[in-house]
Amino acid sequence: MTTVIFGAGKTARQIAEKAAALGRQAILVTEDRLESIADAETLRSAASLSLLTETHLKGCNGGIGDFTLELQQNGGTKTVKAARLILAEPDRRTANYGVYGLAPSDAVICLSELKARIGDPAGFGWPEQAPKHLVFLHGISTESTPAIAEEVMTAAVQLQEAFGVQTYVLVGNLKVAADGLEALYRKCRQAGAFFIKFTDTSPDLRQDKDGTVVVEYADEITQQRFTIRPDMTVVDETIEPSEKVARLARLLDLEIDENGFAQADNVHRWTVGTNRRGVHCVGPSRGILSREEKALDAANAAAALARESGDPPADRAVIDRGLCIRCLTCFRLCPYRAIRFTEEERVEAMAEACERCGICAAECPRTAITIPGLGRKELMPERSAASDAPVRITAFCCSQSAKPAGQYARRMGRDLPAGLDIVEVPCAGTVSLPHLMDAFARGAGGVMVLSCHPDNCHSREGNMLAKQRVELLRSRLEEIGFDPKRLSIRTLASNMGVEFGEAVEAFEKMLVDLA
Amino acid sequence: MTEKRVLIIGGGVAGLTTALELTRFGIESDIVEKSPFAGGHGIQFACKATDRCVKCGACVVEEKLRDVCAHPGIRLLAATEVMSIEKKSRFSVTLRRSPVSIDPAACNDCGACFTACPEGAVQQGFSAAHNPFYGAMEDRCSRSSGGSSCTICRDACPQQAISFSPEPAVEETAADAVIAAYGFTPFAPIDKPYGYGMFDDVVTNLELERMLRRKGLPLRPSNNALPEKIAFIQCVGSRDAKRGHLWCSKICCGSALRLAGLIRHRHPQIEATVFYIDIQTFGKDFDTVYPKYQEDLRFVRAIPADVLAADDGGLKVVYAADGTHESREEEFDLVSLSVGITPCTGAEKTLSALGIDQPENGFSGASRDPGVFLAGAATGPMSIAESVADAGRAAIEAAAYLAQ
Amino acid sequence: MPSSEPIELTSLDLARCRSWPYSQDHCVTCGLCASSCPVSGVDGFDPRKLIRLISLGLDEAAAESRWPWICTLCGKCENACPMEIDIADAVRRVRSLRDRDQVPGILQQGLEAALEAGNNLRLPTEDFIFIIEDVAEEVAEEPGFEGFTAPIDKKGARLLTTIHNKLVNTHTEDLKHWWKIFHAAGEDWTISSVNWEGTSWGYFTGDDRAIKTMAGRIVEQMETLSINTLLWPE
Repeated sequence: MTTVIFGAGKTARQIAEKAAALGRQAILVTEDRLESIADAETLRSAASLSLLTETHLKGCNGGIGDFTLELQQNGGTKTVKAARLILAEPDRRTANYGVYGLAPSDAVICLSELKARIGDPAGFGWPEQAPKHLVFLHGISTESTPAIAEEVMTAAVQLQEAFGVQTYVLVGNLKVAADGLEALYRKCRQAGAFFIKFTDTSPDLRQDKDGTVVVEYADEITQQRFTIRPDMTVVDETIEPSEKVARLARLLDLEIDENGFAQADNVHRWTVGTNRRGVHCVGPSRGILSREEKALDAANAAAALARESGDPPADRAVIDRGLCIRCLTCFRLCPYRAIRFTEEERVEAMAEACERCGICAAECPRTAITIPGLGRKELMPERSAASDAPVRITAFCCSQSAKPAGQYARRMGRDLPAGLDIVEVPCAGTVSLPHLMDAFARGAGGVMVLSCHPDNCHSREGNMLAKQRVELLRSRLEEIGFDPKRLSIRTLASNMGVEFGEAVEAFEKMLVDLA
Repeated sequence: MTEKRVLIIGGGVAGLTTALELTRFGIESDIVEKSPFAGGHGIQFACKATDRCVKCGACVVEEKLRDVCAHPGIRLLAATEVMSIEKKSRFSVTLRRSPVSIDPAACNDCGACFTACPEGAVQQGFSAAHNPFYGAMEDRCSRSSGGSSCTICRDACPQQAISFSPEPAVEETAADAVIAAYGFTPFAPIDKPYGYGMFDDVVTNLELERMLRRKGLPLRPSNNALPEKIAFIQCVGSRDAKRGHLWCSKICCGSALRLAGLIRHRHPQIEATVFYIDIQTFGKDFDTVYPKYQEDLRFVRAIPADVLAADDGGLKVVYAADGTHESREEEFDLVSLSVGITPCTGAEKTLSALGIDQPENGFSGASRDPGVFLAGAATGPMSIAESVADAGRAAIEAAAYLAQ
Repeated sequence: MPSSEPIELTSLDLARCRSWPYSQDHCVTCGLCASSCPVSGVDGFDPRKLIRLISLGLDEAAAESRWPWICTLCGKCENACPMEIDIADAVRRVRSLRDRDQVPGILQQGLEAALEAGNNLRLPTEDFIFIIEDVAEEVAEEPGFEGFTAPIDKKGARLLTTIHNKLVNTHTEDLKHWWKIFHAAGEDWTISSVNWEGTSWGYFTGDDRAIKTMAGRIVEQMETLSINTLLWPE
């Protein structure tokens, strides 16, 4: 079983090592040239892995256990088979010159540049030519992160202690929410660094023609105005996903978060999961992480490799070739990329990649897709509501959220409506228009769809699709003179027992009032 | 695949996740949880979603607990403690079960025991996955603490589901590796000048979470009415060198802002003020959500010094006002203290039996025994997300050790 | 404070007060001290500002300002500070930086009186003894305290107690409470006829040498009277 790891940095190597310990062969694929990879020789000589440099991903087919990657290297293409894929590209730093309205100069440098000088003082004529007064601009008018805060404070300690530089740290919210940072903050002050915090004010920064900066500010504590004339100003940096991550995510059909990292901001993807089974996203490819979080990610990616993929489950989506007109609705909507277009130009669902959310079946205009257990005749209430109930309610409950919330409500002793029929669905996205209408046809006075909150759906937007269908059907019902209030959708989480009770009770009351 | 078995001490999110991750390697485990309700602190938290998920992770704890309960390879022993543990060829472990036991098969969730117990020792579960749904808190039960022969709960049970063992039930078991995931102890703010324990309407953020989970409303405990103004005081017991807590607890800014955001979303008429030192980044979408919180909530960059009783039953919060810096008294009717994460108390015996070092900060360090692994907030402050990640690391390390 | 002119931060010596033993560099500017201070806001003062000035090496500017004298040295800020900064001691240090003739109010006069005459009031010994005996007689008139006397300069007593000058001046009634307790407890106690002053205004003016002198005198008196235990109600 081969794992392809995109990236050749520290995180990628850690995963490869751990994978080797599990007997998994890893291929490291990077667009970088061999010369630009630190310590490439040890990497190349490692028995458990191979390294492909200057290699670009061009396409990816298949699913977990059987990915086929199309790679381009030195003008030629090659095909690589892999059971698992891991994204472990490093992040990218952008120096915040623009944020502070400063231009880089001899007297204005960025954090990485400062670290380079501290790492090679002689090369920069330090300590003789080291600055006497150095200002850090850190997380003012932007919010920084513990990772950057740690670098700023570590550098400040080194400057104070090793080079006798007086440092001034101008900061908004100091990010100390990572291991050891509060203690580092104290160490930094004890070393002589001076911290100036800004809450609702900000410093005036003026850059002279010679590139030096003059800082003017009113100290928020003493209300005193101060001027700083540092001989060096260091701007902090913003951590962003590398452009490689965005490209790879697109080629691998991964959800991306709003910052462009290749893992949706969804708690169900924790720790290294993506929307695709067998594809993992690690460390700096999935977000801005602290040092300790990055280290944890590598271990989690390796642990994810351990799970054997057994036989494909039997209860997954099946597409009827006779009915399918290849409109590709399912292909577009499948959050797990479990639908593929075969060489015979057929549309096919991959059982091993399918998570059985039911979205494809509900949306297929030809009803060509069946999923065992989720058909119109199969999705039935788990128990029949009392026949003497004032009104019968069918509640389609997502198994991830509303279903356990309902159980919780019941166990808390909540007196749920006697006419409540619960239909458990793997995702609200399962609930199709026919499912909704069937419920009314079976005698329900009202139908509810209870889904996960936006951004919390395991299947990305099954909840939103369900909402669209409910809204569509409500407008149709209204057209034919049927009160649309009888069809309702709301969101819940698995721990919202009280809210579940309130929602169904209020719905029952509304229905009784209607009657 | 393997006969190896792992003992996991602590059934919080770290312990639960470690057990699930170990199953990837075909390794079975016993989770031992002191409280009758597994899931740790996280299982008591409310969903803080507004018009969308705010990624607090409370539902993840719920999900892990459900998955653990459903997994045949994991044995979850709630209301159980490790009495002694000794390394021979394997770890031999003596477990002590709570003397009050409720048979989950017989219990019908009627709650008669809960209503009947005069000590408030019988409590309700926090999740549908809590089985039995009721449990006796040993520290409050007069049978365990005072040696009384009280039988009120048993007598009240129409199902005969409750039984007492004369001596605590003891069980011997063995393990090939141990995961120490005993979590943290929330800072007890009694010696802070905020009137906690004196004023009903001064609560901890954990209590506010619990209240929202159980009642769905942020009620003032004094009169069960909705408050008009809530104060959130940050860094209570964190960033506090005087108490030896030279650390940020990492989770409190996220907790307070999400709680305040939820309350304002559901009850826009309630005003919320956050008193803070530095707002910490939480979540992948912090840069997007923080400006919204800045608009929605009031932020004061000063930690209050006192909470005093006001004449009308409210609370006066004393703090240095922005700009003028004069000490000002402002009235609130609910105060939430964001209490810090401090080292787990009560695990000392287990800790030394497992050869676990204790660094200066009081959290758990590494173990001298290669078969002992730590996971989660036992080692220092961690969010739910970080605990889940740390559990994955602990699991692969334990699996590698067991494969040797 | 503050001055209307901007201060050149780069020309300040931030290390100036670093050797001071009050841990002012531990400050995370959380504001707890300012929140807790009963006189925060008076003339723009709050303890955090003073600590800030010390951190900036602006101790002299702080000494020139009224701020250190607005503080009542109650110590609430120090008690509240999560970073263990000795705020009250730092305030005293700043007070000590002023020329003694610039010490405000009656503090310096009282201290000088105490150093010269043994008490802040310059009360002659005979007047002091007269007041003590007079108050003791009043106590003796109360039921249950018949025959009460206040022992002065009793050699070999178990306990020597100092007296706040206020108690032999405007608040003589307050002497009685102490004495009644001694009496009821059967305590073997005494008062010194000289250097009886328990109040040490050097504490307020930041004059540690004066505190030492006055404390030394009390100890001397204990040695003279062969007393091992001191009650210093201050």
